[in-house]
Amino acid sequence: MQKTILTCRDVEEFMIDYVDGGMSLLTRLQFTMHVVICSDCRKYLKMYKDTIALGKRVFDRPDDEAAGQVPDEVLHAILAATEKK
Amino acid sequence: MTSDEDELVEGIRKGDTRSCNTLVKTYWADLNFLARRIIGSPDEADDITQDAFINAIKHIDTFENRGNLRAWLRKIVTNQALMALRKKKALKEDSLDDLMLQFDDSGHHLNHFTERPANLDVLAESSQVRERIRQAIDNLPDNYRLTLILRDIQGYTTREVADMTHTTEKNVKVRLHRARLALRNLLGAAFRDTY
Repeated sequence: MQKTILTCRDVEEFMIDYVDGGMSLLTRLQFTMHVVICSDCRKYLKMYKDTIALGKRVFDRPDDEAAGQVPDEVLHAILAATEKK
Repeated sequence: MTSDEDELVEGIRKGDTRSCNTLVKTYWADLNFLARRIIGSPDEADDITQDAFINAIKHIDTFENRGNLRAWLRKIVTNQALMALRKKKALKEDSLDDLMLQFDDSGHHLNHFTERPANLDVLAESSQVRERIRQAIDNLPDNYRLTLILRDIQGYTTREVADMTHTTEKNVKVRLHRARLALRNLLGAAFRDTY
């Protein structure tokens, strides 16, 4: 029988399904109930979501890394290799 | 697709050098950044990105105009980088156990979280935090890093990632969850410092 009260360990296990979808309604309800009463899991869930969001933002704006501009010789090599005769 | 992209793609199809030039200059940073995260080495990433652009321009006819040009280019560079990574070495499956959460015998958190809620906009604007995120992603073991990039950044489905990395969907979910937790823990200091 499925247990009715989830522990923090259970919440960690279900976190990916909670965030990405793919969880039964009952488990979602149990997960939510635990998160409402457990401040550690509540904070952890927020940090988990924030981590995903931050990773996306870094990839969406890669302009602050060195090598942001195409080197001239590479550009010329690409153009030479794709030039239609 | 925007009308500018429409025009760009049309120019490349006609063999217009200026359009090819614009394509490379517009998307180089984005694709090179992605290749670097996957392959690790800047020099190899440059080669992969170069080959990806050559392939993209040569096969521009396979691009559907209704699609997203950046996503299409990212897919090409991802495939090139994955091939290069497989050629180079067997993908490392190092353990991330040290970075996982700890629980007591009753299943409750062993450590309590003292961080206050993050302001994502502030964090994302900090070049120090951005650099730390890049380093944290780079330091993940190969299979975890790849799974995180393909699923969270590229937006491939769990099934697609399983196919691309030759594993099961269940394994993708395990790797993704562990990669996110590890990334969060590697970023712990950033979360603490910026509140």
